[in-house]
Amino acid sequence: MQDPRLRLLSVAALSLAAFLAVQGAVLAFAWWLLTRQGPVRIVRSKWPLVAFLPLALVTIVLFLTGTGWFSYSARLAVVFLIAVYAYQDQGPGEFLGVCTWLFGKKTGFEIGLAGELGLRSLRFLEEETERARQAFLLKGIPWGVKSIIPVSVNLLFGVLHRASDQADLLVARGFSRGGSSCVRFSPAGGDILLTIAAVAAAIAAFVPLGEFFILIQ
Amino acid sequence: MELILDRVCVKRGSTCIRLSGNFHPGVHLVNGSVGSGKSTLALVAAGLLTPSEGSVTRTGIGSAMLLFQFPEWHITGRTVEEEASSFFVPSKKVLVRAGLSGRCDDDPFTLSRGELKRLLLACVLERQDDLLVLDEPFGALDCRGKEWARREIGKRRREGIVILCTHEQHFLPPVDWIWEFSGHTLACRGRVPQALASWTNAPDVVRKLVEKGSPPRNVTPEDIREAACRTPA
Repeated sequence: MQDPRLRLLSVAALSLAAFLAVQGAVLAFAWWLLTRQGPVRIVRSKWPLVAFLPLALVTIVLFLTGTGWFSYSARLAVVFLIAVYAYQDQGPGEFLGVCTWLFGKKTGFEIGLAGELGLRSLRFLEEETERARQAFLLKGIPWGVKSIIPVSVNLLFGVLHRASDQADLLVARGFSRGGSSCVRFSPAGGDILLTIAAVAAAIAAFVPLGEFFILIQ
Repeated sequence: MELILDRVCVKRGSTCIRLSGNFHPGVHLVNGSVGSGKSTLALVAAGLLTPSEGSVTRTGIGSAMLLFQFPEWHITGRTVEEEASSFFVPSKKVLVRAGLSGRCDDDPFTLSRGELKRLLLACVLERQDDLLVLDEPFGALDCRGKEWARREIGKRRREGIVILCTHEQHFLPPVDWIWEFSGHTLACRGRVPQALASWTNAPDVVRKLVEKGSPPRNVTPEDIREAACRTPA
């Protein structure tokens, strides 16, 4: 989606739909398939799928304790899938632009800047992890559980150094509080259709299935 | 021993970086402007990047090593000595070679970029890989460091294939072949010294010497000095 405002609205609506009911999760999953970019991006870069690990653990526990695991896991899996799509579809600076547009030049810019720095750190981690994997591969050291500790330590220090440098840079550029983001939003035709579909899915999630069939009759 | 790149294409956004050619044992100097595809060539040659088109064939190449442009990308050890050992080379010897013998227990991230580059260069040059790809090995080094690096690389000349991707124009080791990126397409200029005449990105002094009819035998500062001395004023 080109317009980050419509993406944010769609993602919020679909997350709500998926979280509220299984039929909402089914509709949100269908929407995700419809975007085409969702499946394509996840095939290109699979690492955001690590977000599903904690969910898998909770699902196992629910299954073993005999609690209704399917509804919870299916709904949460779709919420995660939509979140991964939002992360992968987002371009640099878009979150800052949307927050400033939504909440103004003071609070909005602050929230946007914090979010933007967080998102860039995630992308930084993604790239650094791939480079660490390449370094292990070149040296002929097996890439597995044993490499987690040295790689995590290096990544942690890398992110801390980067955060410190970014903070210095913001101060050096005269940043104290708030700011403006001059982003031009240009929604494409497909964006509007996808947003309508997402909002419709959210509304459908609120309507119990039984009542829906009564309405049809 | 040979590395063959056959009509390889690597997509970078809307750009396609085209790589074709045969790399034989010896030092191959690869030039090109920023973003032309030198680092992409390094990744493809080292087997870390699969091209979207074409094929890469390694004949008689048992092992390959790449020196990344940014030395911190290599770090996997917690100390300088551990980092050197991670390359499966005698760490003490390598640290002496890199001039870092007193820094064994230091965190590799506390080294300056130049020191780190020296350490990693010493590590990769100590190994006896059949294919060694050096991506900007002179980056972050001062003049002394560059002089040290070019001499160390020069020692590897007769041992396997060395691909040297660099912008460096002055501190160069003796090389056997010259390659250049014309746009985003890799082109072989031929063997040295014949290749010097068609080397587009040649240092000014080399170009002038070629124009005056007394080309240097190779691209090292010694060869260039010698050619300049025999050139009539």
